[in-house]
Parts: sequence; C-alpha cells; structure tokens
Amino acid sequence: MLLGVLALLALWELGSILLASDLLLPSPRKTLLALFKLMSTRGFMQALGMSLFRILLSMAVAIPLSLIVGIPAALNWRIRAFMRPLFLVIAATPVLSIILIAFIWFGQERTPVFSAFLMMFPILTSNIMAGIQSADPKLREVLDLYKLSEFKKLRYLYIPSLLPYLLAGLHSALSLCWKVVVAAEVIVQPRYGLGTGMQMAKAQLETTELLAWTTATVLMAALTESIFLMYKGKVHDR
Amino acid sequence: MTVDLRGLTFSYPGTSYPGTELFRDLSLHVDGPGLTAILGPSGCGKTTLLRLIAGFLSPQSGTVSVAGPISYVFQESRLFPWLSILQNVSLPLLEWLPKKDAEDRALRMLELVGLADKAHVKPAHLSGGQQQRVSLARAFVFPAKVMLMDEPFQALDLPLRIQLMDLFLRLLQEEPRLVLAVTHDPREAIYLADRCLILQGKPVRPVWDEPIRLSREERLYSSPAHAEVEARMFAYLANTFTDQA
Repeated sequence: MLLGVLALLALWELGSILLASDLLLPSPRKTLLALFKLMSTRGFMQALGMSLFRILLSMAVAIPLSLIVGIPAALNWRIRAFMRPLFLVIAATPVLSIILIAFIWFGQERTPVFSAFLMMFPILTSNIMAGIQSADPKLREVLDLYKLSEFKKLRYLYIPSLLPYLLAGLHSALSLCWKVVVAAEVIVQPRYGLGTGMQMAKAQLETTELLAWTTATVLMAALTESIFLMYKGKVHDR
Repeated sequence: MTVDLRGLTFSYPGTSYPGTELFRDLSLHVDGPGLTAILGPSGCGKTTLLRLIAGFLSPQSGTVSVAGPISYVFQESRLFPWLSILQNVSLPLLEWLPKKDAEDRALRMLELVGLADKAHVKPAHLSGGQQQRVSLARAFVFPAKVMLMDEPFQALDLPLRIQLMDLFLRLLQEEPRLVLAVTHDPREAIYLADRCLILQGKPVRPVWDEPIRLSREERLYSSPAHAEVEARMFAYLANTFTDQA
C-alpha cells in the first residue's frame, strides 16, 4: 500500500515537473504546504466538520429508512414490485440532475445531505433485501416450530443475517457519499463545506489550493473508511 | 400424547399426478410416551413424514393430529451461529417465559448434557458431537409432548453415537414424551425404540410394525437378542431395497 502511495506521489511530482506550471499542476510538496496553511484557518475546520456532519446525517437518515423499506420489501414481493420503479429511477438519474433538483427543492444547506441520502438509499435497501433473503430457511423452520413471534424472528434471524450485507452496503455507500456530498457542495455552495472551498479556489484560479482541498477530501474519505473497516472487523469477530 | 395421521395423501409440487404420490391414504396412530423408530430405504419419505407432522408441509388431503406442542431434533444441529449456546438452547422458551427464566432452564438443561461450561461459547467453537448435544438440549428444554428426530446421530462415529444415544435415553427418562425417530440404522432403532415401523413402496405404507420388547442389556449391540431382531429387520429391509430397485 505504501509503495502504491509513493508511486502515485512520484507520478504527480513528475507531471508537475513536466508541465512546469503551478496553474496546471502544482507539485505535491506545494500542495501539502497549502494544505497545512489551510488547516491553520478556522474556515477549513468548519468546512471539514460540516462536510463530515452532512455525511453522517445522510447515513443516519438512510440506514433506518432503508431498514424500514428493505425488510418488508424482502419479505413481500408486492412491496418489492412497488419499490422497484423508484429504485430504477434513482439509479438512472444522473447525480448532477439530482443535486440541481434538490437545490430547487431544499436550498443550499440541505441539498448535499438529500443527494447523498438519495444515492445511498437504494444501495442500502437492496443490500438489506439481499441479507434478509439470504437468511437460512432451515433456521427459519426452527423459529416457526417453536412459534416465535415475527419480532423475535427479526431479532434472532433476519437482523443477524442482514448485518454483513448492511455493512458491505455501507462500505460502498461511504465513498460514494463523500463524492456526492462534495459534488453537491461545489454546485450549491453552502456556507461551509469542502466542496465550497474547492469552488472558491477554482474561481480564484488557485490550483494549489484546489488540490489542497481535494487532498483533504481524499484523506478524510480514507480516514472514515479505515474507521468503518475497523468497526466492521469488530462486528465480524463478535 | 398421540400422533394421529388419517387418510394422508401427499406429493411434492410438480409431481402430483395420479400414481406418483409419496403417501396415499396413509393412516398411522402412535401413542406415547415412548420411542417409535421409522425405518425404510433412502428417499422413501421418512423425513417428509416428520415434516408433515411438524407442519412444515401440508398434505393434499387427510389430517395430521398432534396432541401438544412439538420439538424437533434435526439431522444437522441447526444452531444459530451468532447466538451463544445458552441463547440457542433458551430460544424455544422465549415466547413463553421471561428471558431470565428461559436462560435458567436452558442452563439446567446444558448441565444435563454436560455443556454448562460452554454456555457462552458460539456453536462454531464446538465439535459436531457437542453441537448435536446442544441440539438435543434445545429439543428437551421445550415442554413438548411430541418430539421428532431425523437421524440426529447419523453423522457421528459409533462410540460417540452410543454415548449420545445413552444421553438421549437419560433425558427421555427425565422428561418422558412421545418420540418419532427416523433412522436408517436398524441397530440404532433396536437400541432406542419401543416400536419399529418399516416404510416401503410408492405410495409409502408401513410394512413392518412391531414392538421391541427387549431389556436395556438385550438392546446392547453385542447382545444375541439384539442380533436376532437385527437379522430379522435386515432381512426385511433387504427386501424393501430389492423391491425399490
């Protein structure tokens, strides 16, 4: 992994030497310096905190709603059929259209959250449905035999069966979430956000600063993914 | 304690044209407490019969009457991998008792099967024999009048099988119930059963239905009385296989 990172940095350095223009591609060293400079500002921490908050908020909304829709849909083909067109529409609609429409509906501050939620929702719901459908029918027979209530079937069979699928869905949704939230911030310009910082830097043709914001986003995405994978590993070990 | 089948007709979906029924107009009455062993060639419908009695399958016609709740020891242990042994054993009681009481009873049952020290371990950490002991504990902890068993000792080697059968008989003595046990091993049937049924044919019918009146000593694999019953049963089963072929 370290070797891969070093190779990417070397390629970046090589590109910046060949182009010899900070406007086109500043060197990694300059970008890193710009990032440190940004980090010392109050606006940077607020932007970073708000982007992270939007991601966590969109997940906090998407997870329970996906469970509420996914579990009955997995157990009932009518609900599944009813939900299918919605998922098809969401899957086929370009992310930018969603962001622009959400902007009209919800304004600057809520658009990134809504867009990320809308991207995550079908992924999580379909993973939850797959998890429920993977529940072992032989174990279901045991619960049927002892006449356990539907709630207990959920508690002892379906939720443990769907958990690995939900975690896998969250893993794929997490990186997508960073992309969508930042893209939405770039377009709708909320007061604070990594995307807002990127847009400002771009408007002032500050390529070094633009790359510094981008590096910050990549590092944050990598950090949240690592934390998530640690948690996922712990759940798996339990 | 009774299981009563009247005029039972059953065939699996897609095979229900005349002459292909697994059971046609099958009637069977079993009284308890005691163990009735059901033998027969593979695929003759022994497991299907248990699944009909448990209510997992519905007959096309006829009735299945079971007096009282049922517990089931499956061929494989069917333990919930994410639950501890204690949680697995207490599971059948959760609808009837507070969780704490259910776990107390489950723990007592685990003591009886010699696995109380593994109460908080997950099933994956147990051997096949230990898992089957947990499965027995789960079936016995539930206050069932009728217990169904589908070759639960089949996957175990002989010493472990005998050890588990002895454990089963001890549990049955403490908690008497009507047991219907499917097996393909006549020796197992002679060791455990008060009555033996051999099923044969298509549609299936009982062709051998005899009580096993042997003492505990005579039931031992090495006893001449065991060998005598086994020889008669084998002769019969050999015929069923020939007919089947």
